[in-house]
Amino acid sequence: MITPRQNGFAMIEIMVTAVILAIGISGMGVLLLKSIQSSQDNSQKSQGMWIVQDLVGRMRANSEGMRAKAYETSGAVNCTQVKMCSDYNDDGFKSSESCTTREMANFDRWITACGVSAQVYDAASDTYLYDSPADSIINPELNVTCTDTTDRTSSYSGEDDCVRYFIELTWDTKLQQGAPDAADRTFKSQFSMVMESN
Amino acid sequence: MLKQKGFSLIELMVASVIGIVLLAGVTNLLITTNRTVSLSDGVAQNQETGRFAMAYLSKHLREAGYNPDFIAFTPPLLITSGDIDCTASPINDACAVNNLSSRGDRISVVFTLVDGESARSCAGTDLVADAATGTRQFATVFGVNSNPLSTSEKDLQCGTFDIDNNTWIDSNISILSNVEAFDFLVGLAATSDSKSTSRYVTVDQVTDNNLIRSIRIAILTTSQDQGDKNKLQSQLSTRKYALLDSVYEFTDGQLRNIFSNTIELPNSIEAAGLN
Repeated sequence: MITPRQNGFAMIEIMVTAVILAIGISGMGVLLLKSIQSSQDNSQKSQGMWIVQDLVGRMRANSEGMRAKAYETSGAVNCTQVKMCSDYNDDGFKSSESCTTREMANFDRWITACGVSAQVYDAASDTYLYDSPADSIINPELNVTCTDTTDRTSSYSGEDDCVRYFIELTWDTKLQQGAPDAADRTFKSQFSMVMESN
Repeated sequence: MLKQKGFSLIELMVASVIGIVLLAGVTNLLITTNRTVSLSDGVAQNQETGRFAMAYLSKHLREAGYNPDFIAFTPPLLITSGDIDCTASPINDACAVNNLSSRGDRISVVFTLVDGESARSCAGTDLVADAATGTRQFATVFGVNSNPLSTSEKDLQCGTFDIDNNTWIDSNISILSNVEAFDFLVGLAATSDSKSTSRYVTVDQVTDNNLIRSIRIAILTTSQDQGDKNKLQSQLSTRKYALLDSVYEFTDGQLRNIFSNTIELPNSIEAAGLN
């Protein structure tokens, strides 16, 4: 009787298959990571839009300050606490003070770029505190410039009235987390708009 | 006789080790996929809720103090002033209140219709002012579960109150769910002839409707509860969310977002100095 000769897979073949499979699966993992990152990036973009929208509303509510160029920024916004023109909550309800248009503009810029408390995470009590939409984006930088003026002189500043602003909010994203150089690992995302004064 | 040769023990063990390693990888991938789906879903739900709520609120609140007769003044907010007494029933359920419940404030903006004009209430009822009714004043009321009879959870609600007849046009209806809280501040001018906001305060500090220039609103959105097995944030640290003057605290690991906006009130700004 003839014994049938059976030939299975060799060990080496199985191993090679396993390695190829593993590479394939890890590729899918990267895909997932990318998908999480871009959905977070999108959510931050939308958050950035709201922050700018809010600032526009604040500027329109303080039209004298807006026309007097009080909202222009020069460099990064200083995050030391300013005179509080709005009731707020910082470990309990805190009352506001009445502000001049310039103080109000200062406050609006500050709360847009910094939030009430700069620190989001307190390690000692294992507590996160989100007190403004700016807390959900990383290192927000605000750039507001006046791009157009009229001949009409602002009674407040003695300069020409500003009628058009360019507002830009920039923040860090982590889209290139896997990059070898630290400098490449974060890069900027931004939202900008032009507003005309009322 | 047929000689059979099976796998040796060594071969079987190596095969099962490789199999287990592969399975572990695949399982890991599945778990991650599942979490990604929940996370993207949560992020999307928060975005959607926030965007719709803010658009709806901003649109309606901007109409505060609307009066087609520009000489006449309509107070932007429904608070105790003039003929309006917010302690009387049923208007007490319609007036603007700071910290109404654990879900924040209730806001109530007033608009006027003159003869020949019409509008719609929140629930779609026609509001008509004609020669017979004369000028009519209505208030649009917003809040999270602002209706005392409401049993729903986390619903942003809207109701329309007929101020002249001191009655609800229709009871509060839910506009959308997944709103954890709503808060607002009122921007006041320093003097009645100034057009600019000099201070933002809670509504209980507002006594003069003539000084109101703007409204700041903030909402806290959440996503549908995923159940304990599928929490979106892996660390269950305490998370505090400050909406303007109030703080909300959670330890359940749900994904939440703050949305805020400032709405200047054109009607009140234009009326500055006229009253």
